[in-house]
Amino acid sequence: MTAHWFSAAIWRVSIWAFLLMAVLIPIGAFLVYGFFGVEGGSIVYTLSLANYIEVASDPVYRKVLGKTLRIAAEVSVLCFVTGYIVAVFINRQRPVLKYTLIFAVAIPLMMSYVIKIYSMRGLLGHTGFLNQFLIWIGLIDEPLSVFLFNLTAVRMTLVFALVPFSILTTFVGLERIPGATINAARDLGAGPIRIFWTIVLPLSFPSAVVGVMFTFVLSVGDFLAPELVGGVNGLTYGRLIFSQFGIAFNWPLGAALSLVLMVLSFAVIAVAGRLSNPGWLRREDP
Amino acid sequence: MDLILDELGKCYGSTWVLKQINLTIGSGAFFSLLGASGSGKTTLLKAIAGIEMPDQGRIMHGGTDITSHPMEKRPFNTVFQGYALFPHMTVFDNVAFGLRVKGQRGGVLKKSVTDMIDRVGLSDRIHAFPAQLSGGQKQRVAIARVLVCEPRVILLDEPLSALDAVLRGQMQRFLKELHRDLGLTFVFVTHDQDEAISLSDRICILNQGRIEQIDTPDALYHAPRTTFVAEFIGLNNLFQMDANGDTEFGRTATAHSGSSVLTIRPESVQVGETHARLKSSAVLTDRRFHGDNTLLTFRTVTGREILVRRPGRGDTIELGEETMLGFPDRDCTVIPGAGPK
Repeated sequence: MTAHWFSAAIWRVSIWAFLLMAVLIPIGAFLVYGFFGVEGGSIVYTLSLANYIEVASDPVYRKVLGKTLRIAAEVSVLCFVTGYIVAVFINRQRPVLKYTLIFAVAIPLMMSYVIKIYSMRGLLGHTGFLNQFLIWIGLIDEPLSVFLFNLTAVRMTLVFALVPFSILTTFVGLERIPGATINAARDLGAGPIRIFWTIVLPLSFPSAVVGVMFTFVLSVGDFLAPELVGGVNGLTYGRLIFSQFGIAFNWPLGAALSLVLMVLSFAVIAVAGRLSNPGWLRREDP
Repeated sequence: MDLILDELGKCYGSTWVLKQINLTIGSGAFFSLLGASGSGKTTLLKAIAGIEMPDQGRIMHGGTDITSHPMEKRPFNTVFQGYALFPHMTVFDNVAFGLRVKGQRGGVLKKSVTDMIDRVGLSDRIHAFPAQLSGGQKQRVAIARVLVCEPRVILLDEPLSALDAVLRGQMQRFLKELHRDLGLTFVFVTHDQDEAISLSDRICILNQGRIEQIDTPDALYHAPRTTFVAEFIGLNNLFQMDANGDTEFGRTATAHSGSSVLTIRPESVQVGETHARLKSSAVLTDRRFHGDNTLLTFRTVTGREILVRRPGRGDTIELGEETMLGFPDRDCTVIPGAGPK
């Protein structure tokens, strides 16, 4: 009895200690850094609200944040839709092929993000696959440079890199739908379109929404894709934060900018968490 | 609107899981498909429902060949094993699903659905989700969801197998009442012979994909046509009889050309004084008390085990005691042509 209580207590303490060290202290440090200032390239440790006021009042930050949120939303929607289509296709295959395909989808997640961005540059670039292909089918005579170094290239790169999250989470949701549930709907006279909208989509949505959360949170804070394929218009919020830390050496301002992103991400995670656990999944009465 | 299966067959790879299925299910019948697991009873139900396509034969309903009709076009509805309710829909929406597919909306829909939910006694759970219901309640929703569509035939795939004994008894009574009130055709798949016998008008006994016998419960019990049926339905005693009517317990008057098997039910065996032609001296080896009856196991001098059922506590016979067992001719059933046992 006593020993059990003791070991349980040790578990509790270690879990909280880990959370404290790995999550809460770094976040707390960030929060505090946001209240410091910079003079002549070195940090001044006097507390002030100057950074937060600047972040809130400067229209440039708001504009960049708005643009970044829009891109992240577009990327998430694209990932959701394409991920859904691919997951439905994969889920329809026979077991061996099905799990081979799902494994193939998961492989890119283990590869370096930078490699994926550079391969996208290879696809979209001046001598890239897309240009070669368009010349080959006779649609254009000269290679075009419009595919790379703009926001569309950023969107495409992010979708390319993040769509496995959507495919995998949606697949899990689809696979959990029992065959008998679909048969029951058919038995009651429902055709494939009605079955998709009234049975398959609502039943897989709680899983798919987790994929949307991943793609949104990861693309809203991304700075590598805009940096490498975004060109002059590719200034996103993630790149803004990165420049404060890596170029301007204004850590306090970077911390203040990050806080905004963090609050937004937590909000998205909270909404996704709520959507992924609808009332019908719970046992207790509504 | 009879449902007729004509030479139906189904194979997986090179194995025929259903062979030469010929049967007629009369309109309004409570018809059971009874068999052990692997007998093909569920496959047969799926073929009727349209979930599985047969590889041979035809399915006729009211004179129309519906063999190639997809399941959503058949005038049948299925109560699935494990209910297969839509987990994201309330009881109301589950029951309303079929009517919405048919294009019903508004007040008419609401009335039909609430009436049906009322009928299965779930009015107070109308806004609950399936995860919040008990097994018996889920079963009622599954039945209501099907009944509200007013199908010609209701197919039930082991609907009660997941319920405990008390609840199963209640649901059996409920199903029987529904069948009587609605006059619909019920096709009921079960492995539980007691359930099949007490509910059905007619039972089809399946064994390894073939029909053994289709009959009323009474006929299956008292006049089995194969040794499989004789042993499958209830408890029975079987022994061999040759062309002259000779058995290990004497000669009967009910001789039959060729060798055959003689069966007698445990409750028809006489114990003690007997005038039967077939008789044997036997020793009581086991006694099992079932409350309203007692099952006695005897071992005859020929080494055969004979089951005897007596009302109440049974005869005042001690274990190991020797007595006479009699097998009256009028209570014996002959299964002609059956191989040696």
